[in-house]
Amino acid sequence: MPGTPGARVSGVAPRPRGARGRAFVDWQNDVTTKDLALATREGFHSIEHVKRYTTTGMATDQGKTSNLNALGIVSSALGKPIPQVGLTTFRMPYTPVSFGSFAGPARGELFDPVRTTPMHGWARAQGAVFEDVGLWKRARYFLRGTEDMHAAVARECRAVRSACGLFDASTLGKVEVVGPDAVTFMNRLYVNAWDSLAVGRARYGVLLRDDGFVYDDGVVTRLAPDRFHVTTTTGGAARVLAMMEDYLQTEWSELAVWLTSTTEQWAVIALQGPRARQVLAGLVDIDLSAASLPHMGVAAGHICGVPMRLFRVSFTGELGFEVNVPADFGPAVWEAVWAAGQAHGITPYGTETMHVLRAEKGYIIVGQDTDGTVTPDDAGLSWAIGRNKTDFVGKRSLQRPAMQSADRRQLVGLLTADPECVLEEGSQVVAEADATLPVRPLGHVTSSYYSTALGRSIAMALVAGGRGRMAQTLYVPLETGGVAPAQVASSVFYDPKGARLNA
Amino acid sequence: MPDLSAARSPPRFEAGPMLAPLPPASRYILRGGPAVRAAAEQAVGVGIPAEACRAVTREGRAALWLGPDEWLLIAPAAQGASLAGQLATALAGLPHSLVDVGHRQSGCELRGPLAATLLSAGCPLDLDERAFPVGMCTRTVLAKAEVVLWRTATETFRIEVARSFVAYVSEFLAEAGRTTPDQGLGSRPQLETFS
Repeated sequence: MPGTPGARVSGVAPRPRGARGRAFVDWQNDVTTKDLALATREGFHSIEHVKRYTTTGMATDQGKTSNLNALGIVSSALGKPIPQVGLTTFRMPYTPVSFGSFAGPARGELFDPVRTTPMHGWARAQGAVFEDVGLWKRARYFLRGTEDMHAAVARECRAVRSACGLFDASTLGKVEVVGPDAVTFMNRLYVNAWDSLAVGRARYGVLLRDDGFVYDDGVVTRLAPDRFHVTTTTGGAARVLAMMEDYLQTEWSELAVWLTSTTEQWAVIALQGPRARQVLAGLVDIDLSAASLPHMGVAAGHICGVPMRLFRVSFTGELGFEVNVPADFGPAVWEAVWAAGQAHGITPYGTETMHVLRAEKGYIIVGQDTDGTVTPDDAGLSWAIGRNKTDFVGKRSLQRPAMQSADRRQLVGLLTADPECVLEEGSQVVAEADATLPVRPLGHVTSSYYSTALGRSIAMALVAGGRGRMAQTLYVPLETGGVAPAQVASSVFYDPKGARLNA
Repeated sequence: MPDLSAARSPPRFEAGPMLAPLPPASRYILRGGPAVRAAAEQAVGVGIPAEACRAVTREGRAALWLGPDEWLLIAPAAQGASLAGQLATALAGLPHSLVDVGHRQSGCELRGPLAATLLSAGCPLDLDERAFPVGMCTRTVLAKAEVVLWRTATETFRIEVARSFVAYVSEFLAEAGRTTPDQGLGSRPQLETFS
């Protein structure tokens, strides 16, 4: 830049001569030479006015990459030397700032917290491949020998269905809801009727937003008349607690009930499979018989001398228990269960196997089979709604005609004509095999797996009027071209009567 | 059947020149109104602060104000059962919530003349002793982790953090220690004001 006082300086237009398009001057605020010329034509002659009219030099670099060019252009447009055009206030950054200064320590290992469960070390030593779920690392599957993921998941699925699987469910969100008004609070918040839930019993709970769409789900246990142990999805833990506190503090501050996050207080050791009872029986001081502890029964006791909350619950469709122990005891209790299970074919399994097993039973995952536009009825969860309740969060929205329309997208099962064809999750579902594009889709595939138990692929999909289309053949366009024909079916593919669950 | 009642594996803070991990402790979250606070005070043997963001400690027990109806009670690990029992007796009939969170979180202490400076690498609060005096405690953030921060002495802070964030907080403080200049810390650098 020439330094002679009073010299006329032309602003540099950073584009090749004759090129079409805009010549940008401020690259952060997208101010062009044209904008600056317009400003002067509009009568903004003070550089402070030009700056505010165009926003040139107002980005985070405060004009360090653009001000001199802008001044030159304005100087030319006004026919005045730069000193007469003047300068805007000189501000930080006075020198270039490296991106490292902005990033600070948030890089590498410290880019984000990596949350691990108490049993993480064991899983790593056992060859677990982990997946990220929010900030958590969860074991996805355990590789044995030369297995690939498909083989590992098939082996883990077989083990759970035929013997016993061991699963780390510690990341599930947990909230302890306590106080004389706890049941009132739960009634107002969740769709379910909680008055009828006896102490020592658990029930599947569904939480809606006030727009009536499914927000979260989990198992809710009544530990005492005034104490509930509420579980949430792993990813929903923080926002569900925040929503609860929000309602409590702003809408229902008259209720005598208090919330405490207990997500990390408990290590959760899930034991699932027909031999789960035999594995556990020698370790606990609780009668595990179906008569004494039926499906959805809960008991407090000890495992190897460690205090325990024992939940007889299942996300696999098999006889199952979830052993909750104070988290510091997690690794030792896990090892004890592992040792006791050796005689029963115990097999550690990961989230991928958990996904397959729950899909075989048609159990949904909020956020995968729902997407924020799904009502309980769409998801096939109408049975969970307390019919006689005067209100709950979302009830009023569910009464809108559009929310009850028969052609809403409903969750159904899909069975491909080719049993080996595993559909891509997210694929569209259409009515005709050879329709001309564009086609209005009927819905989309939400979950899709190869089921070892059934010896074929299974899928769940949200399909317009889906439950009225049972046995219809629909089509799923494939990435490779063509379509896969698939028959609409119940989303409960395995043991629909629940005999295994209640064993 | 093995007896595992002593087989605790608490999450480990990495000890550093200024960072000292604290042994496992008993912890409870007590929630309720003023009557609960008063009744619990008798049982716990330590004052339970009514004043916002204040902690009281006596003979190894501590009560930290976390909210208008929420306190964190800390006691030595061996006293957990007796503390819970005393509270249950004292609070019988009073609407309240008492929840065991002894394993939910872990504690460490940061000591030394640079403790506040180190924390400032990740905590947006003013940790000058005039703004954050001894006996003050609050929920806040340390970089991307939620923590409870309690100044127990001029140059000592206690940090309580959920167990799965222990490794992150440890590593963050170690990194902050590596990059904190060791001179001229008595006074804050003068920032030019600008408009």
